[in-house]
Formats: sequence, C-alpha cells, structure tokens
Amino acid sequence: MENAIQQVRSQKAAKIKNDRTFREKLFVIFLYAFSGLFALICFLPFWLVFINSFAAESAIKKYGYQLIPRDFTLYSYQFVMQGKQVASSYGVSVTVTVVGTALALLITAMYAYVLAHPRAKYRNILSFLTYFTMIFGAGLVGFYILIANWLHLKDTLWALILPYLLNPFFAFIMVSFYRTLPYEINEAATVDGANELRIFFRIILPISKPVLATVALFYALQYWNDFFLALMFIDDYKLHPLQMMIRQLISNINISAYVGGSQTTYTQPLPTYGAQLATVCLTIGPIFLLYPFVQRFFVKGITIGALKG
Amino acid sequence: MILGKGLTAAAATALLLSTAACSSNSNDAGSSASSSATASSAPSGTTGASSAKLDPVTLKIVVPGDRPADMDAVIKEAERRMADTINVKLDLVFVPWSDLAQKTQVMLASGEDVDLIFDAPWLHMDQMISAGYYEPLEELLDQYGQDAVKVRSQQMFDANKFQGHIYALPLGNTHLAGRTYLVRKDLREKYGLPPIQTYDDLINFAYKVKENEKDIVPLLAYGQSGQKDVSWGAFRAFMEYDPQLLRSDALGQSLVLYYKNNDGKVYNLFDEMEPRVWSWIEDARKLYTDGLIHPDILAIKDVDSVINSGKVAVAVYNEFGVPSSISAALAQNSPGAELEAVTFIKMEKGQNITNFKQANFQAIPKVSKHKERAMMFLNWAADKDNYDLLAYGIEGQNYEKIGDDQYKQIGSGYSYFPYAWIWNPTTDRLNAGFDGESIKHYQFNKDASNLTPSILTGFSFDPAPVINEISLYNATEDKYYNSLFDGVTDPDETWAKFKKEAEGNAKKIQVELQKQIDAFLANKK
Amino acid sequence: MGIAREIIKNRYLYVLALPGLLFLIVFAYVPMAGHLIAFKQYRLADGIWGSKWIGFDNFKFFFMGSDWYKVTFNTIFLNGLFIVCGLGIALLLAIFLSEIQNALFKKIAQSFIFMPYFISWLVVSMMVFAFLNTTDGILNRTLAANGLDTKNWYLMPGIWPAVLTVIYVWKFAGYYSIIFLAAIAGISGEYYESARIDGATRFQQIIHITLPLIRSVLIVLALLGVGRIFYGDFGMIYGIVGDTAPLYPTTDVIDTYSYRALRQLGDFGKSSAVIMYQSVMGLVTIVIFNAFAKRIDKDAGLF
Repeated sequence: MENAIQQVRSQKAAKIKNDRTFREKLFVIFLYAFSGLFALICFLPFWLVFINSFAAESAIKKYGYQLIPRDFTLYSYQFVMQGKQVASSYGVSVTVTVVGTALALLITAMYAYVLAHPRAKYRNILSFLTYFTMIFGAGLVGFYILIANWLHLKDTLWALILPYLLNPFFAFIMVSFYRTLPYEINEAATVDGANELRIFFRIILPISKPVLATVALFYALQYWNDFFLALMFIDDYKLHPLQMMIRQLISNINISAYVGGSQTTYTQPLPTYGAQLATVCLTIGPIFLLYPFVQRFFVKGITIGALKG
Repeated sequence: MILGKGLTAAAATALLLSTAACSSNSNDAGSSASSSATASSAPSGTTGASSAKLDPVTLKIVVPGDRPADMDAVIKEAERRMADTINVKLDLVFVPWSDLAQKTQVMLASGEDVDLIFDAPWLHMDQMISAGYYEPLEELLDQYGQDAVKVRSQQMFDANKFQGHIYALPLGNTHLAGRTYLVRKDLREKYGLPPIQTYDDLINFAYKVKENEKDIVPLLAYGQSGQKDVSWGAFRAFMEYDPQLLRSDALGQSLVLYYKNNDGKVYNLFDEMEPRVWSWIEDARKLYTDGLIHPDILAIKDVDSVINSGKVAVAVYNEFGVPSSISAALAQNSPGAELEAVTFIKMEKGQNITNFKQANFQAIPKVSKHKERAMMFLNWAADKDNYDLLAYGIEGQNYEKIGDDQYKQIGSGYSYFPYAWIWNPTTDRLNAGFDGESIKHYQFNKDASNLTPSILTGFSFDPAPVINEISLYNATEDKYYNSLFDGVTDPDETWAKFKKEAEGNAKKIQVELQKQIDAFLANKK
Repeated sequence: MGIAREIIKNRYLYVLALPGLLFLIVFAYVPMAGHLIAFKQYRLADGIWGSKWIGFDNFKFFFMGSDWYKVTFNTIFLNGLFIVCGLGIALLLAIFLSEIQNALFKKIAQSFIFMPYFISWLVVSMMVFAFLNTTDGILNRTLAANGLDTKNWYLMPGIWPAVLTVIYVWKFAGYYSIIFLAAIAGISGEYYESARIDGATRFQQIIHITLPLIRSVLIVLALLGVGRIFYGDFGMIYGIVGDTAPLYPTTDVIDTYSYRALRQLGDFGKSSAVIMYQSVMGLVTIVIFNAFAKRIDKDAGLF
C-alpha cells in the first residue's frame, strides 16, 4: 500500500521535475513569454539608438527613428570623436574606473562585512550613521571646499576616484547578502583557529562572488558614467574623462545657435540628434563588454554549493 | 594698428594716464595695444617696450562653451604677441552651458582663484554682485582699460552699472537685439505671395500654408517656461510701436510688469490689462485653435531642430538674419527649402527705445590675485588685430577677412565665441554670409546714437527686498505664461487663474520696483 | 570602558571597517557642515561660519506659496509608484530568469533588460517625444491609421504618472534585477532538489523557497528607496517633462519646483533650505519604516 503511494508520488514528482505536466509547461511558457516580451521592449529602443547613430542627421530629422535607416554614415561618430582629446579621455575614464572599482570594492566589502557581523556590537549604530549620509548628503559648497581647498585634489585623478569609494547603497546590498550566509561557517573556522581577517579573506570573500560581481559592476558603472566630479574638479581639459568631454560637446551644440553662434558657419549641419545617439553608444560600449563576465556569477547555488566540496 | 575711430582719443587718454601712473610708454608700431602701465612694481625705465616687460602671469579665465579644436594654436599666438608687453599666459577653462550656473557659483562660493569669469543677468549676476564676489572695475578701467572702454559706447557702460558701479565688462556686439521671423521663402514663392511687409501678410501666408501643405505646421515659437520672450504673442512686443512696450527689470522676460512711453512708471497687467497685449493673446488663441500654431509648442525643447527639419513655415528667432547653422541644416534635410529673415523692427533713428543693457559680461572676482593684469588683457583684446585673433582664429587658417568689418569662416577648427569674453560692437566683424538687409540692421544698431535711450538707462534692480515674492512669482508664472501667449489654453480662464495666484506677489514686486526707480530718477536729476 | 573593550575584543573586525569609516567621516560628515547654509545668508567673505544666521528665512519662499504641498505630494506619489513597480517587476524578472533553463535565452534576455539603463535621459526624452507628439508621434499615427481619435498627450497631465512609471520601470528594472539575481544565486541548490523530490511545482518552489530567502534583500531595497522618497529624480523628470507647463500639476516634484523658483537667483541658502526639508522628512520616514520592517523580519532592517 505504502509502496503504491510512494510510487505515484515519485512518478508525479518525476513528471513535475521534468516539466511534463500541463500546468508546469504552461507556467514555463509564461516565464519565457514575460521575460522575452520585457527584454524585447528593452531592446527595441536601444536598437533604435544604435542603428540611428549611423544614420544621416537629415534622415533622422525627416523620418524620425527608423528601424533600418536608408543611408549609413559615420559622421555622427566622427563629429563626437573629432577632438584630439578622445584618446586621452578614454584613457582617463578607463584608469579611473579600474582603480576606483578595485579600491571601492575592497573597502565596501570589508565595511559591509562588519555591519553584518553578529559579533560587532556597534553595528547598528554604524549602520545608522552610514545610512544617515545617504539622506543628508554632502552639501555642494561644503563638498567642493573640502576637496578643492582642503585636500587640494583639484585637477588630479584622485578627485575622480576618492569621493565614491564607499557608496552606502552598495554597502547595504552587500550587508543584506552577508546576512544570508550561515554563521556556522564562521564558527567552524574559529574553532579551527582562524582570526577574523583570515575568515574574511579566505572564506567569506570566495563565496561572495555573486554580490562581489554585482557591486563591482555597479561601481564600474558609477565611475564610468560620472561627469559631475570632473565638471567640478577638473579644469585641465587634458584630464577630462570621456563623459565630460561629450557633455561639453553636446551642451555646446544645443546652445550655440541660440546664443550668439549664429555667425558661425558650419560646412556640414550639426548632427545634434546623431551626436547624442553616438554618445550613448560610445559610452555604453566598454561597460557592456564587462557584463558577460559578470553574468557568469549569476548561477544558482554557486556559493554554498562551492563550499560543500 | 589701433582702431581708427577712437584713435586720437584713445591714444591720448592712454598716454596721459600711463604717464600719470608711471613713466613708460610703448606706442610701438606693432599690433599689440598700448596698455603698458606696469602693475604694482616700481616705475620702470622710459625707453621702449622691452624694458617694460613684466613677469609672466597666468590668468585663469572661465568661459562657457566647448573648447575649439584650434584653441591651443590661438592661445600660443596670443601669448606670443603679449610676451613683450603684458606677458600674460592664458589658462582658459570651458564650462558646458548646461552646467555653467552651478559650476561658476561653486567656484565663486569656495573662493577659488579665478581671474576672469563669465556672468550674466540671466545667469546669476545680480546675486553674485550683492554677495560681494566681484571687484568694482572703475579704477582698473581708468588705469588699464581705456581701449576696452573706447570700443564700447559710453551708453553701454552707463547702462550696465549695478548699484552705481561697474562690476563687470559688458559684452555685446550691438545695442539692440535682433528679432526676426524666419520664413520659408520657397513656400512663399510657391503660392505667389509678395515679400512680407506686415504682420497681417505673415498670417496670410500662414493660412495659405495650412490650406495647402499637409505636413508642414505654419507657425512655431517657443513654449518652454524658461523662454518667455519668444512665445508667439509676447514676441510681438519687440516689433510693434506706438507705444513700445518694454519688459520691466524685475521679472526677466515677463510682460506682466512693463514700461510704456519711456515715462519711468511701472505698469502692471493685473491692474489694468493693456488692450494691445490682450489682442496678442487673443490672436495667439485664434491661431492655435485654427491649427496654425504647432500643437506641441509647449513641449518642444529643441525648436531649432524642428525648424531645420523643414516642418514649419514660420518661426521666431532672436537674431537679425538667418543663422547659417539652420540654413545649412535645412538645405540638407529638406532640399529646395530656403529661409528668409523678416523683421518689422524699424530701422529709423530714434525709433527704438533701449536701455542698452547687455546680456553677457566678464567680471573680475575679488579673490583674483592678478586683477590689473586681467584688465590689461581685456584691454589688449580690444585692439582690432588681437580681437580678430581671439574671436575668429588664425587668419588664413580659420577665417579670412572680407573688408574691414566682415569675415568668412574656414573649416570648423575655431568656433565663434567672443560673446563669452571679449565682444564689443566696434571691432566685431559680421558674418559675410548674412543677407544685405540683415547686415544693414546690424550696422545700424552698432551705432548707439541711432537708438533712443530709455529713461532708465543705468538703473539696476536690487531684488533682495522682495526675493521671496520673486521666487514664488516665477514659479507661478511658469505655469501659465506660455500657455497664454502661445494660445494653448482659453485666455479668460487662464488669465483669471493666473491673476488670482500671482497678483499679490506681482503687486509687491511692482511697488518695490517703482520705489527703486523713483529713487534712481530723483538721483539722476 | 565598554567601547574600548569591545574594540579590542573584535579588533580585526574594526580594522576591516576602518577605511570605510574614515571615508565616511572625511567625505560625508565633514562636508555636512555645509548644510548650515540653509539657515544662513551666505556671503563668501564671511565663509560658512561667519555668514549671518537668519533662522528659517530661507525656507519662507518655499512654504509661503500654495504649491509646496502639491509638489510634495507629487514627489511622494511618483516615488512610491516607482519603488513598488520598479522593485516588483525587477523581482519578477529575476525570479523568472533564474527559473529559465535555456542558457542562451537567459544570457541574452539578461543583457537586453539591462540596456535601457545606459540610455541617457536626454535621449529617452527625445524618444518619448517621438512617440507621443501630436503631429507625427508614433502613437498618434497608429491611432489615426486605425481610425481612432488622436490626442495631444502633452496637454493631459492625468496620464503622466503612468507614463513616467512605465519609463522608470523600463529603465531600472534590469538594473535592480541584477541584485535579485545575485541573491537568488546565493540560495543553495539543495533546497530546490529536495523540493522537487517532494513533488513541488515550480510555482510552489518560488513561493516557498525563493521568495522567503530573498525577502531581506527586497526589504532592504525598499527601505533604501523609501528613505529617498522626498527626493525627486530631477534628471529624469526634468529631462522628460522639462518646462512643459500643462504637465506640472501631476509631475512637478520638489526638486523641479525649487529649480524653477531659484533659477535666476543663484541663492545657495535657499536651495540648501529645500534640501534640508527633503532630508529631514526623509529621515523621519525612514526611521518609521525601518522600525516597521524590523517587526516583519528582525534581520531586515537597515539599522
């Protein structure tokens, strides 16, 4: 009797496991449909941006955003990249992003660990103090005086790196991740004689790969996309990162005709729309190459599973 | 060589002053201007330019815009020319237009060492002056800046004082801002209409376009709340006379408080609606409901792009002549399309009242350590050849001269931006590409004596006593003004709502403004 | 000496936290003194400390008018919509994508949903305009082609909270889903294995395993959003709505309103005052919600 019930159960389970019941199949189809539809909606505008960055300005003005433009041209890109600064801008952006992300990741991971650690008695106070800075952000004038006048960081790359080394938002993401790790791991290691530093670097970090990858990506994005720090603190145009260079370009295009540049003659019409689209593509490129690497870490069970071995 | 017109006066004054300050003079035959008075050091020898050579000083200059590709070459040449006289090195910092307000504010507020900085009434100049950031310039101008004074009319200086002092060098190439309607010439000719002479002609043309062209919107103006002067109805104030209505000094481009008949009184539309203004509003409403004004006029952010995509027949614009960026783009986007500039501004002596206020300025912050040298540089830039260099680039490479007062740009290595730091009506050249009529307008308005000075020339409004009212009023006005003057909403309803919310604050502002004006006029006598 | 003992006992922990703490003090707390400008009439010559104290004067311009509670409401309402819909859809996407077996589909879909994050608000606003404008917008053209009434969408404030929410979700759901994906990746596969053996359907697995185990992440993200509920997303709203006056009633938030009021004045004191208002209200809100969150899940509070 029991055997029979068990048999039925395992059969049913096998069916479910293999997605063979009708409901399961429907559910799976729904998953694909929803995700697929959303992905398409996200992709389509991006496609329009991408493909129209290769379209002639006149075509964009006349026909709007076409799915497949009639003429191909590289002029928008040439226009945006015309300055001799492009190479140095890319260089500055890459340097700042790499160094910034590495440092920020380390500092944040260490800090968040303490905020999540059950034994740190003052962690709640620290958490509050950390969160407080998210609400009462640094006032602009105070921030500027600190960095420019007191720390003398103007026109240095450090002005682009240091101010973002600890982003409370990312810190809290890591905190919530650390909280999901079973404390038994720590206890086991302590029994084996390891101190906290060892535990952190040898045990916790290796199993935190998903969150480390995520936060690394986010920091990289933050550094790569930032123009505000450059705007405020870098007056030497040779040290401008990519975003700053582009922002100047675009901002000037839009204004010049209205303000007084009506006297300027242009051999080709200014690719206002095209330049903006080309900009998106230029800035998205490198970061987008990074993403597939990060995706490797989003596999279920990559953390605890690894431990068991 | 030094400019023709004011040569004798300029040279004489400069000589006089420089000999008064110290003994050297350097009226060399070369291209550099005459400023040679040394700074704080002991009087140098009397012989030639070489012995008056000063220590090199780097001036940090903050200007809006984007750094042109050939900027370095131009700077090098400029420094070469200045090496023997004022010996200034230029550190030009470009700030994107969209971030100009914030960045300059923060730079000034933190006391950063800047020598010359761009500012404007529409930016935050009044505020910065009240807060004490800028150095009064009269003395510096007297000592080192006489050329800079001479190339700008006396009216310009008198008119652009703040609280009685000159706090910044006015930058302008004309005394009257240009206003035109850009009209599609090809369409006009297609329907056999003669050149447009009056506003009614213009509307006639618009109706023709509406009837016959399905894809072209007849009329376009500006609708975003930051641009009140160029909404369709309000724009007409620039081109109508008897009486000429001028915007007040307190509310930026808003017509709600205005001047009339040059009589020094502040009129308030909430108290009594001016019939002329109401007629503009109703006219705009009719044009909108008839489908002539662009339906999305309030949402369009980039009006220029709509113009040069060939989708409108008439557009308003703040310059004389058709801007070449627009005509070039239009030619590409819509082959066969062509624009002509139509203006109803009269070109007769004395017809236009103006207060000579300029829209762009260069100021010297109090914290600058090289104020004298900064003024010397501005003076140096007033010389015609030096101006040509800084404004147009290297001759033959970036531009070519056409006659004495026009130029033609070559390539795109150096874009035109003297409005940011050195503009003046005397040495500025006109783009040879403009049509004849527009060039005449420009030339006419370069001469200050062709314009009637407003009785309030030299008056500047101090907003401090009513600053809260002004901020609130601005926020309220933004909700209604452009809908009203672009005809998007029903005039009576909108005006009633607007009046109810704003008249209290408007009244307080009016009273304060009138008070300051009365005090100013009393002092003038 | 409780503190000293604690620090020595857990010295390695506090060593780990030290760089971060140092950073916070230097880059976050020191400049906070700048907020005092909200109560002062700032003059460069006097510096932050020497400038005249004027109490709440700088706040008057904001509260004297009749618009402040409308823009406050808009700010909270819009942000509320953004948080709920944004996180909600992000969560769904993360769950669905982690359930999907086909590796290729997964990777591609994950990449696609991330893309909108990179498109600048300027370009987004151009696209929205191309879609919604009256004369040749895609929406109106489609409606006309099907014989339906076209409308002037930019004159209808009522629809814009929905429009903005859709745009927000489109732009950020991918970004937030990454966080959830990482959290789901941290769940041991064993749970799912044993659930399957017991015959649980996918749906049941999601409800009983996935959701509870990432609940703390969801709560943390929600709290982080709530704390900033008084800060409108200026870049987004000003970028898309700009200065289009008819839409102000439903889209004007505290940040855009104060921007317009202070645009030509350049008054640091007043802009600081508005920020002070947003900060204080945000603080009150988060303290309340954090306490609330801790009741649901002791570990889920921010502090």
